[in-house]
Amino acid sequence: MIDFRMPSLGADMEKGTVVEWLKKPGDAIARGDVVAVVETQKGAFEIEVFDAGVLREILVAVGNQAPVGAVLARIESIGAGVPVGAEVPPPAPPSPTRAPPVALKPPPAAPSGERLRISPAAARRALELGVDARGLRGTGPQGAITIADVEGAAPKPSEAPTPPRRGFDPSAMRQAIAAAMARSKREIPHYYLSLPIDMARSLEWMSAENARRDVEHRLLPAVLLLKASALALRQVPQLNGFWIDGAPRLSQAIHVGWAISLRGGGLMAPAIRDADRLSLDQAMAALRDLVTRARTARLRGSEMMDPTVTVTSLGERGAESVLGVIYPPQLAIVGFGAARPSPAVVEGRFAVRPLVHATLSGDHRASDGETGGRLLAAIDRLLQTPEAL
Amino acid sequence: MTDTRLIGRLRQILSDVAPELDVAAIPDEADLRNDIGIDSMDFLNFVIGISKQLSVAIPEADYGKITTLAKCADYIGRSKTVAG
Amino acid sequence: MTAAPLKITYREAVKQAIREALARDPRVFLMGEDIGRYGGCYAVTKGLLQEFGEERIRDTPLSESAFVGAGIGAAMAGLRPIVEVMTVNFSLLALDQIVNNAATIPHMSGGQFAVPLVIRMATGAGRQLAAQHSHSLEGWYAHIPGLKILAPATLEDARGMLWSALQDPNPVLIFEHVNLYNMEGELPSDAGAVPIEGAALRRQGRDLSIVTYGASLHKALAAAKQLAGQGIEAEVIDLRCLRPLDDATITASIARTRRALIVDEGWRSGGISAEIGMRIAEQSFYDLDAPPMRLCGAEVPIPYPKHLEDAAIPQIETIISAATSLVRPS
Repeated sequence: MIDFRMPSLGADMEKGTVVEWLKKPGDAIARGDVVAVVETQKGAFEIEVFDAGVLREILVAVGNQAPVGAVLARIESIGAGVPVGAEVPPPAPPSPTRAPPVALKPPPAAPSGERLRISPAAARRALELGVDARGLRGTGPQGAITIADVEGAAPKPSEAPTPPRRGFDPSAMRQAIAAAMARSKREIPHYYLSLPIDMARSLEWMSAENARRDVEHRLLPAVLLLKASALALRQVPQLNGFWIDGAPRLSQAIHVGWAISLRGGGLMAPAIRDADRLSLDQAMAALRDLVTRARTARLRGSEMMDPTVTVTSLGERGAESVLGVIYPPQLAIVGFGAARPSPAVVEGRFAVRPLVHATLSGDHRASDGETGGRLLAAIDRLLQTPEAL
Repeated sequence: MTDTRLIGRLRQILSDVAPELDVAAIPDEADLRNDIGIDSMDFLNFVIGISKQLSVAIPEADYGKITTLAKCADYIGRSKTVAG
Repeated sequence: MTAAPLKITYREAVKQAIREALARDPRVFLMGEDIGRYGGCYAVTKGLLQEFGEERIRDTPLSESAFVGAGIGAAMAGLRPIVEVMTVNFSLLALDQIVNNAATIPHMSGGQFAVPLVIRMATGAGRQLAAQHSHSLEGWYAHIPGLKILAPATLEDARGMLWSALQDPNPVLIFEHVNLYNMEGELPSDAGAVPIEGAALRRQGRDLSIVTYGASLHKALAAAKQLAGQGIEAEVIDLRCLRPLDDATITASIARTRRALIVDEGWRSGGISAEIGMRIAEQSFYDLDAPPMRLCGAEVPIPYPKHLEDAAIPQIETIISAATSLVRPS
């Protein structure tokens, strides 16, 4: 039996509220299925499982709150799965309610040798419904328990309370951001670097590219910045990963947390997984999908857990540069200001070029400015050959 | 002349892109990016929505001509006339 | 346009099938004991000798081994023989020809020889013909790879299976239950060939699946009708083809009903019911809400006296009581 626990969707999360179960006891579950929607201070997230099996029992009903690590449901395993996620969930506090789940098997080594007489179909149904078949009176052949006996004993589905509306409470999100950012500034000794990058080549290449493309396949400057950052992190891996238990724990995979600001107020940075390995078109599709789902509160829990680094881009109308605050326990945050026509020196002459100020905030416990400088230089280099991104 | 029906369609498309916005409250003349906070991704999704639902493909070079709902309706109205 | 239905017997439907085959394909001929002058021991072939002549309607000596063997040779040489064996009991004299030759030659020749032979034989009890003429041994033949085993239970199948069987490059055995020959019903006057693979769902129901074939089909349908009066809805599957078995139809039905009753005149031990039951256990285990049940012939040589003969094979009443005990055990 596998415990399906309240996940930690970030350093700032302490508890969550189950707002929807998308599977019910008895449902088969495949690895990666979304089983529940959990609301946190940052809004509602779809929570996936990483094991295949049958959902056996729901321990936290819709509308109830549970701390991170609490068992939300139990899953009967079929083939062991490997839990993924950046953080190991803390040990579970005692589960809120309910008796432990009942085994279908008769008590082991009953001295009388008596076995439970139950049809295979009824046994399966009992498993699905979470009914303890041992106490039932069988009406089948030779007193065997049948499907009808099991179904008769299943608790009638009670009227579910109306699930809370999906969405988020801006003041709660403010609290969550406050907690995470305060922890960051309290614990992480930031260093800051900045480098103006000439975007002329990238933007010209992209305009030409977009002129050729139909509407749906157009690119945005953001995707070039995303891809360049991810590829640069491959060259400078010291900035990709986490600070855990007093030591850096680098990640081989580059899952870029893309900062998305929400119009209702607030911010989140869900992951674009393996961003360094996506083509520009794939990265663009991933970005569009992520932003769309962030707007409609359809993000997955794993997307909040996975980022190994954060990238924030202010877009074309914002400030010139951003000195980001690292999202703990990550090691760095890369920032991009708005591209503005600016005076620049090109081949010994002044020229007006679209400059973007790239910045890096690094955790000085894990890396030094020299390392950070190499990352910004790599990003710059990569953006000079956009066709190779 | 402002085509109110067309602007209604555009509002619907915008609402699909940014469901958290009260699109009915957006003035026809409001600048979508500066006043409403539509970012480049939302804007691209808006353009894609127009392409899909109204069959008008707006080139990137013309993004500057569709900064408000009214201008956008105007642009689409004209391109339809030309095409028709 | 659908032609007007004709009132017809099973015997007549078989005869029409043979006539059609003889008329359509000059390679087809009929061979067997008493099929010509006498018109067949069950009168299926009456009149064919006059119509098609001695070349194509051939009376044979009383030697099953010889004329079945001759049929195999003719088939290998390019003809399309229909061999009639009076009853399945007598076919045991030709067992070597059927099992060692007909079923193996396509395989052992590496596909160089086909054996497009059709053997028709009567099977089953119910005509007071006693133990040496009344057994149901088709299950034995269904054990043999290389053979296709058909059991037409309806007028359509009696009329339509023969032509399809003749088109099959492998030996096909058609088992006609003796109690069906006098069965009368309606058949479209333009009825023709039917597929010879796959079972047929003859009745739908939610409470149990009765799996059967041949004459037992009609008992099962009659039983299902009476069971419906007691609120038990039985699904009835006509296997039609005993080799290969149509597992998909059976498992799909059990997935709906969760209970299986197999009805078969053959003896229980080692019979075709045992094979079907095991397949159900293998493939439908988790769908079963009750152990699969068999209703088979009593393990005795079929008795001669009417009341004992009736008691030795499944009847409407025994099907009803088996089905009831499966669905509503007391």
